[in-house]
Amino acid sequence: MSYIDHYKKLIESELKSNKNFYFMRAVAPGADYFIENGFPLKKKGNERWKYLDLRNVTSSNFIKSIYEERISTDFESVLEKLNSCGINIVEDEILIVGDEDNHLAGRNFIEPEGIGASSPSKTNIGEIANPEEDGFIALNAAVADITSFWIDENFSKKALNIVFAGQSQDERLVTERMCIKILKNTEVTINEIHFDSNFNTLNIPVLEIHLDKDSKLIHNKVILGSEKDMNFNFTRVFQEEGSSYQNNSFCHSPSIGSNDIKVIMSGEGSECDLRGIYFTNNKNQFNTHITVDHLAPNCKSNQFFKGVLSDESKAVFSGKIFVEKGAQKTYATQKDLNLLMSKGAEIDTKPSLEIYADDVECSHGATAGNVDENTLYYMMSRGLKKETATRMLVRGFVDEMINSISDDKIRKFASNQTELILPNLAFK
Amino acid sequence: MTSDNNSISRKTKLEDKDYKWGFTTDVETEVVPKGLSEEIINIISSKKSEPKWLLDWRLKAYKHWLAQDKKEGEPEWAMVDYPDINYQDIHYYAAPNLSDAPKSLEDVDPEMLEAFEKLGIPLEERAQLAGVAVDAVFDSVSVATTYEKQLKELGIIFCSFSEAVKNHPDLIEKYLGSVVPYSDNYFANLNSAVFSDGSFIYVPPGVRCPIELMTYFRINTADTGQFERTLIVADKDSYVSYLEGCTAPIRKSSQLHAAVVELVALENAEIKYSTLQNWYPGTKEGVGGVYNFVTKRGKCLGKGSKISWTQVETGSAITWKYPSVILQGDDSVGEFYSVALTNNRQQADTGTKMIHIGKNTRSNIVAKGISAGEGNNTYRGQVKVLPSAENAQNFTQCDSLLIGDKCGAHTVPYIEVKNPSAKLEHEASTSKVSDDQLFYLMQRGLDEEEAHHMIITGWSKEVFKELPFEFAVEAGQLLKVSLEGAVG
Repeated sequence: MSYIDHYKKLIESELKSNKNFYFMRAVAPGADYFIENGFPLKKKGNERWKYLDLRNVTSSNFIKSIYEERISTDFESVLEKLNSCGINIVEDEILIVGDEDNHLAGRNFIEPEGIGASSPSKTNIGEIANPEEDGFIALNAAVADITSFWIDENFSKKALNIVFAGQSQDERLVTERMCIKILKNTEVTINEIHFDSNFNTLNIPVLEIHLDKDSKLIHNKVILGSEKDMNFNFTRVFQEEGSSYQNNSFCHSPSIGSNDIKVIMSGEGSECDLRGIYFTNNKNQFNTHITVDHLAPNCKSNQFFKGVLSDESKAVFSGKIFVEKGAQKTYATQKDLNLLMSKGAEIDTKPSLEIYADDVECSHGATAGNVDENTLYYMMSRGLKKETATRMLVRGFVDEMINSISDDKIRKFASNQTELILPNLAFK
Repeated sequence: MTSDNNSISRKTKLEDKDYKWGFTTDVETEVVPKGLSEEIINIISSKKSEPKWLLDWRLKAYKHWLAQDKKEGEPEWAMVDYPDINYQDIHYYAAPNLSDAPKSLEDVDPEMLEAFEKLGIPLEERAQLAGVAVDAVFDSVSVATTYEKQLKELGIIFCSFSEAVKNHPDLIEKYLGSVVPYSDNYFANLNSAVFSDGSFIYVPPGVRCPIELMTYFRINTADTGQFERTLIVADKDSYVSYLEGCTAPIRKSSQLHAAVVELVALENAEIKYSTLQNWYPGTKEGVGGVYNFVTKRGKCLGKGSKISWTQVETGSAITWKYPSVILQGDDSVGEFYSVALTNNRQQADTGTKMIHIGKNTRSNIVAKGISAGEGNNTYRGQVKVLPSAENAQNFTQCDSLLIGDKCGAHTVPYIEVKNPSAKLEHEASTSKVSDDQLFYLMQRGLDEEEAHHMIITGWSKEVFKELPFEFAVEAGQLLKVSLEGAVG
């Protein structure tokens, strides 16, 4: 039995339960697309995944968790875990994915619709992430667990923390789908945190974010992978006029995974700023796939990513700036800088531009290399050991990204994590 | 001047300049029937009295080509659209009637000489004045070769590919397909099976070729796919500069051109390869025009060798071309300089590949793309550093200019690094000609078109300066002619 048959059964049983009523527009095309194409394993014409070896994705027949397993990651233990990482979160700022008790329900700043709630139109579930874009998104759409809510001006907390706590069982498939709408004139910070447990799990979280006119979202994303899990993380953002979207990603690679962000700038005068750092080590493979679609004039976008690669790991960066005909006065930049720390590590970077409007300013740059020898020499001549000097330089390289995280807790957390990650990287 | 005004005035002036060099010469041509089969390959091979090993190589290539499904075989990743090519509707061989092969320049068909005259290349005079030896390829067979004697004294072999097969079979057998194997890509594969003629150059050890070697390619017979094969071998410590310039007459149906160029540089040798391509780009509405699907690749085989590609691409309906360098020898250097222009409905997907294998290898890429009218211009490049390439360095710069709001400019670089000691930098920018600069020049009395031309020429200078002097002048002219009316 091929792996597709396995998922076909899964999809069929999910469809029978018919719980995703308001999501049907994405379920059927997702199911059809996945059953026909499966995971994106094909070599030919597969630009997004061409550098990654995705065969492990089909090595097990992943199944969806049953209810009892999901709540086993209870609220208190997650809070504790966050605390131990230096994130002190007050109870009413947290949303734990997979927690059926849903601690956010009933709170005044946020209205989780759940399934069958009275006004699902407010969030347009399944509208932004096209299930036919990719096999992973398609599978997510076909068997998704949906949380859907909007945030309005009354939101008074500093930040909303969404925690994906991971599965404590092998061969589990996690397909969370979150649809978030930020209403007009609202300013909010969302921290999306993925703690992946060290089990052979396939995580495909998809976030759909709709930014209303003149709203502003600061989205901090933390992916802490493990040696065994796989995490294919998708964020799809739709921006209306005058809105602003900021994304800061901090990724420590799972065994294989991706941080895939697409921003559709459909309203005039909107801005987006996407930044991130990715660490890869051992034999991990990590794909950072960033797309910014400029569909309206007078928009401004920035992509700035950095990578630190060690051991025999592989990182892929593919960034794209797309400027539609008529999207004049676009200003778009893109940068990807990589440090290759050991022999055997590999970086494949593809910063591309696709431009159909003339009155634009677009630029991109990419570099790959080791720490600067002259600087290293200077530091060593001052008495530092090579390893210490190297580590300091890498730290400096990383800090530029960490320092731009505006949320204090996440910034501190990222900084602490970097301290934990760096000694484990082999600098040879 | 507001930008809106600007784009409107540009739009209204988006008229193309008539193709200055569109004409056909009436020369008796020998044509084999349309279509491709083992029999046709046998005919081509026997017409050229080729040795058996070469025929076998062609047939091997043909079998490999045939085994590929057309859909699977043709590269689909390039950002170009073209109607389906019917490979059985092409003449795979056309040669000027050579029953009395010209023994010297005087014997050359006067009509053919006139054709070169119209192209602005009077074979007898300008070649000598400019110090250029011309191996003119008219359709598929070389007709006249000058300077051969002078070159002979230095031991340099510069002749048509067919002659080389006859007179220097050992060299051909050793190097043919060593850089671009017959199975390389769909179009190179097709070329390997049916290639008609081209140029061959061998520069012996320690010789610095004193003149720029030059071949003028022209496509002449209607519906003739032209399949050139060029091979240049520079032996130890030698230097050669080769120029290739192209124009083609107006044709209604599209013409497929699938050439292969192979360069081999041995220890400390240097090869400079310059191209000026101005084939028929089709009408304003995108009818006709040449499909330029060319595989060009050089191999820096020896230590300290250098290969440099320079190209100015203004013609063809579709350009699909990636002159590449395999940097195999330690300390070898690869360079790529390019200006590509698309106007009206032209499409270009061009760039380079630099494959770093040897230690301390360096490469430099400067690519400039200009899009006007409804043209689409894509830079596609790959820089690959293999684990063996210690201390490899690459610098890439690709800039695009957009003229008018209907064109497109795209940049797709692939950077793949497998050695931590590598240093790679890539920079790219896309914009229109700055309003401030235009305003400044116009304030000084230039009209908008002159101002545009001046800015674009200055912008392209980085590439033009890599061209041999005579070519640089021609290139500037060509750019001006191709852009006339597109800006304003």
